[in-house]
Amino acid sequence: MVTTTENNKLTVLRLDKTLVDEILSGDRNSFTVLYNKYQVPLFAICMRYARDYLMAEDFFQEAMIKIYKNLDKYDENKGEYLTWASRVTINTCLNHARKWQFSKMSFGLEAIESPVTHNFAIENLSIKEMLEIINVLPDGYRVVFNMYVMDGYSHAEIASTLGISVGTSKSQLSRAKRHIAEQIDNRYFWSKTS
Amino acid sequence: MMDNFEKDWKKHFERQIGQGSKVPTPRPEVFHAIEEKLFPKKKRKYKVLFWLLGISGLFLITTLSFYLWPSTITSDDGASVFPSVLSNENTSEMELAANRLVPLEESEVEESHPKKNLTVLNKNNKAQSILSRSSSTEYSVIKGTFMNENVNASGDGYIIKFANDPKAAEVEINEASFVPKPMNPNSSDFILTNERDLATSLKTDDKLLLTQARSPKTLRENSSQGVKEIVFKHPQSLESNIELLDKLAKIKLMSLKYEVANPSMNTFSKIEVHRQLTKPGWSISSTGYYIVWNDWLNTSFSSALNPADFYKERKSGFGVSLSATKPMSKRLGLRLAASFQRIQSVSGHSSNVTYSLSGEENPMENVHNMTLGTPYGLLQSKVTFNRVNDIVDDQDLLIDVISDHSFWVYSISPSMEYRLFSSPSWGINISVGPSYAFLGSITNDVQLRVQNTSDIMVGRNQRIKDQQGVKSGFLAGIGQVDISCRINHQLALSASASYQVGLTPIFESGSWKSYADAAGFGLGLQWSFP
Repeated sequence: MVTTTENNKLTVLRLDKTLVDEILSGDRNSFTVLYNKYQVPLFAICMRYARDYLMAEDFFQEAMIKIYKNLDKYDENKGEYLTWASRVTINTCLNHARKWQFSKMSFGLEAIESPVTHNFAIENLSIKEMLEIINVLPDGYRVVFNMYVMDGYSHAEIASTLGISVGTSKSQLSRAKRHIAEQIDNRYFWSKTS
Repeated sequence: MMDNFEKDWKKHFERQIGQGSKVPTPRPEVFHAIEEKLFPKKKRKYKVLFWLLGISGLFLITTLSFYLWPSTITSDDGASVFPSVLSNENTSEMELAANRLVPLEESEVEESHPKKNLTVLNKNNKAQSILSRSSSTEYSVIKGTFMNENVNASGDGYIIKFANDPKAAEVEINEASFVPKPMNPNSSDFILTNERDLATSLKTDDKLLLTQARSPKTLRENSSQGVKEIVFKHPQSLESNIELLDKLAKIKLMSLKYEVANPSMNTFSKIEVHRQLTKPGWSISSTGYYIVWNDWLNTSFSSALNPADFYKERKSGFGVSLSATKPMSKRLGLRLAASFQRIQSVSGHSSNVTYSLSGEENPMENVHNMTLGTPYGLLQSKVTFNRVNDIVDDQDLLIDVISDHSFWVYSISPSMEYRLFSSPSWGINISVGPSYAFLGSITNDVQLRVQNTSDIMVGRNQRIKDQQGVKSGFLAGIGQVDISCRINHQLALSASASYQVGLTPIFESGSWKSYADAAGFGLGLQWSFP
């Protein structure tokens, strides 16, 4: 028996696939619909990896062009359109990220310890604040943090993708979290005092 | 494994993205850039394709229409031929009606098909057809002799229509439409006038439906009864044969009397295609045009025009031409044009003259014979300089010479005209040929001004020798493109662009020559005569 949720999902799948088919047949309106439908999550990916808004727009533009030029490769049986499009977007961002110079220096295991940050502090962050915090991270920290925390890469995969060692990946992640925690604490502190 | 911090961060981030509240989005410009990148190429591609296909299509249609357009020629003696093969796809029905039909006698054939104004369809004479189309109103006539012993019976009638053209009106033939022949009361002629170009319809298999019944009204109600189909076909070999016969007839080697018909089809003894087209005739055009001349003076002549500050302005003017064209073959025609132009230009230079006190033949006056340079030759003038103030020494005068030239040029140009494209409504012709221009008259209004002193002024300027070179005329080559748009069968509006280049002998001896070229654009009217 198909539940309501499953039904909705199927509807979404069917609609996305319909839009994709219509775009492939040259329908520009469908392109606009699909673009508007998923621009937020896809642009958020770019915002996470990019240093700033303008760079994110560049990533996004490149990713969108890749997506729409490879629409015929999208297979609905393998998953949702958004998953596939997100993967293309992440790969686009990572292509740029590889060109950045990461610190090859490993840190001690002590650096891997998780920062002590209260959950309610994170909960109070707006999306804008979260992105601001991420964007100011050094490139290496930001990329590794995004890959590991947000996009589910393992350290081995990160190391392989970025051409760094697993230790470097771990230390970059640790440093990134510490940076983020510090900024959250600062923001939380200043918001409380003000 | 992700720790709590990581999980909380991810969860909160994704929740906000999912809610979509205050989530940054790319600017609209990004969307437009992406759209531009993904689609405009296509748009441009489509535009390019549109134009490419449009132009190619136009070219193709032009070419095809030119080569496939059915044509007619009228034999010199007006002999009649008919290139139709009659066959019957409904033989059984024909046989049913055959007992009411009688074969046609040879004498009747001749009687009912006068030789005058009959034509033959011939694919190989398209230009002839096009020329004909352009000069006459065209419509087609099917003429046939209808044999029926019951034709005089009251209420007899026939309906004739083109099966392949549902829009074509039915033509009712009843006893009142028939013109009985005194010699054979059982036969009648009928004429079916078709507004379409029958030759075109006959290019492909066409069907002429003949419905025979007691009464036209009854016939309509029972249109499926007694319907005869006559299919026109055009085997190439048949056309060739007819063409050959037609040629033989032209040179009087044989009299042209033959018919092509399906023996089993005796309802129509003969069907001929008449096209009331006339032989291509003369056409006369009148064009008014604007023309710009350029003179390219040769080096030796330029150097003779001392001092070096000689200048000339481009000359321009207006002209009118009258031309007559006689079609000579499929595409070629002979054209003779006469035109006259009024051209104006300005040239000038400076000159040096010495006013000599001792040379004053009359008080306070010097007379100099001056040679004045123009682009069209050298003029000789006797110029009087008047001293208006006292001077103690001879004066070197710097004189500006400015000439306003005005020409009347008459030219005759026989040329070959090539019909590049022609349709009933418009056509493009190009013509190339020589042109000979006579200088009808030239007026040189030369003004001299003393530049460097106010003590001496130019008095009389008496021309003693005008330039002679161009008066003898010059030979040029002329190319012209005409685009004509037909207003009716006799009148067409035409736009012409022409270019000509020629040698212009400057001096009397003709030894010093300069080149001149001219470009013109005109609008005119063209009359075609049968």
